[in-house]
Amino acid sequence: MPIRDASRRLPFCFSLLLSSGVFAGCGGAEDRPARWAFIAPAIIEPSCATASCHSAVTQRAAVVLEPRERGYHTLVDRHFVIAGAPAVSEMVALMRAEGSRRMPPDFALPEVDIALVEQWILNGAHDD
Amino acid sequence: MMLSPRRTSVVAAFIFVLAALGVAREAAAYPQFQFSSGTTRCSQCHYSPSGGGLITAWGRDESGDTISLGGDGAFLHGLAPRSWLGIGGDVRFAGIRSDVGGPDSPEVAFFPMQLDLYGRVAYDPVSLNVTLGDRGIVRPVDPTISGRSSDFAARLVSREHYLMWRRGGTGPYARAGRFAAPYGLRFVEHIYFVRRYTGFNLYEETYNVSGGYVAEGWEVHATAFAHIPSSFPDLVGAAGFPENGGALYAEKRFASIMALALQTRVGVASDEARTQAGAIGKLWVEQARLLFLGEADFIRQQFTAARAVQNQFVSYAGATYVMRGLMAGIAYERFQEDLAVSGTGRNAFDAQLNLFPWAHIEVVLLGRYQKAAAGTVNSAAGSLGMLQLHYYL
Repeated sequence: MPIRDASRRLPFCFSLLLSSGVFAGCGGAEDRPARWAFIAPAIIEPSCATASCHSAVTQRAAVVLEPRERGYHTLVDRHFVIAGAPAVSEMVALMRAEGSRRMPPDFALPEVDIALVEQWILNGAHDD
Repeated sequence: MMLSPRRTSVVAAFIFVLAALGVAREAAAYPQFQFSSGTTRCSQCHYSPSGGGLITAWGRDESGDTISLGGDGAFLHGLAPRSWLGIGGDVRFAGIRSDVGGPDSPEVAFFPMQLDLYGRVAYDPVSLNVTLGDRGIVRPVDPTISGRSSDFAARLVSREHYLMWRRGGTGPYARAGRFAAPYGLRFVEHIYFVRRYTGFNLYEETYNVSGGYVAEGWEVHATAFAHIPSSFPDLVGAAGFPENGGALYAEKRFASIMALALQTRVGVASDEARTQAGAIGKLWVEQARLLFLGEADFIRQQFTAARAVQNQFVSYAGATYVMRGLMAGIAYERFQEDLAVSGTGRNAFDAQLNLFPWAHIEVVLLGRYQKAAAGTVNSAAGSLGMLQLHYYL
């Protein structure tokens, strides 16, 4: 492929790729399952159980949020989550920075993610 | 060889600095130097076929001759003779100001960010490559709460250790051990979305068997990887999804000014699977001394236990001005956590200035602004400012 042509096509290709994500990001209504089997791998582990923080190997503040079963027991047994009561669950307060440091400390979680966590707690915070 | 008192004191000072500072962060790589420094392949400056980690004699020469304003980029500034034993290291100290809202924001912290020591023993065409460092802590440890991060010895980590067969800078190669599989733009900054959400966040190096071919105009890498079991000692402790799988990366270069790459990665865990594919583009415009970099990946996650599927999009688009002694760049990042759900998008805007006043020394200024995508109820934004001092051995 001639270089001139290729160099012209590159910005076009990437504009297409980038814009496809932006527009696709409009998305639709929330229909994700409010279950620990989803919330843990989709929200908690990528955002909280990172190597710098609450991974098994780092155990920041002795809080471990992986693997899934251990993460569940950490949150429930240590009362970060009060089943049925998201309003008094410390985990939600941390995510919203209500009266405490924000967690995760590097970026606020999207509200829809926090709402999904709240729904899971409201449903009884089962290990399902 | 006997060292003079002056040289001995310089060596002692370096050893002291390395011992006193730092935490392992990343096998540092600067994809911005491809093409802009006159090199077309990452493996010209790094022993790793895909870049990152210990730099070669060529890379050390480049660091003094074309990247920094002066100095000798050789090990210990040229005070030590070259030998069959390759040694290097990275030390970074950082200060940050982070504001994500809430009672404790903005947060200001100064911390040792990286201490990595690299060792390479070669008996051509075979080499053993080992990295040893200490895991980082941004915030002070609360002494009332026990945690592994409070113990320096427990933070020791070897992110990379692998045996490699390679006859030269080009041609076929094979390696086995722990390292980051060739995939994506290998930025130093692990906070970038294209690193964080594609399986290459901090300490997510896996155990791999990898092989490939590197030519002047193209390269291809194939990797089979396995997650590190939690039963392994902390020294090789890992984070990230416990996946096993494979990755492919193929790059074609054009006239030493442009590269296009295609990549894919599949990871399977006990009750989830992640399939992703993407593309990378690099374009060097000599007249403007601008390097354009871009990456876009689509990711499909399947959660078996939850009977759910999530499609994601992550991208990076940036432009970097490169001249001797200075690199200045801006970038836009996008991460869409779930393409089907409104309000799960995140945007980030980065501005970065890298100064290379002298070989071995780098000063980095990074500004980052993150904001949830439009349509998100929670409009909380975050900003990060960082000053980083970097010394490489």
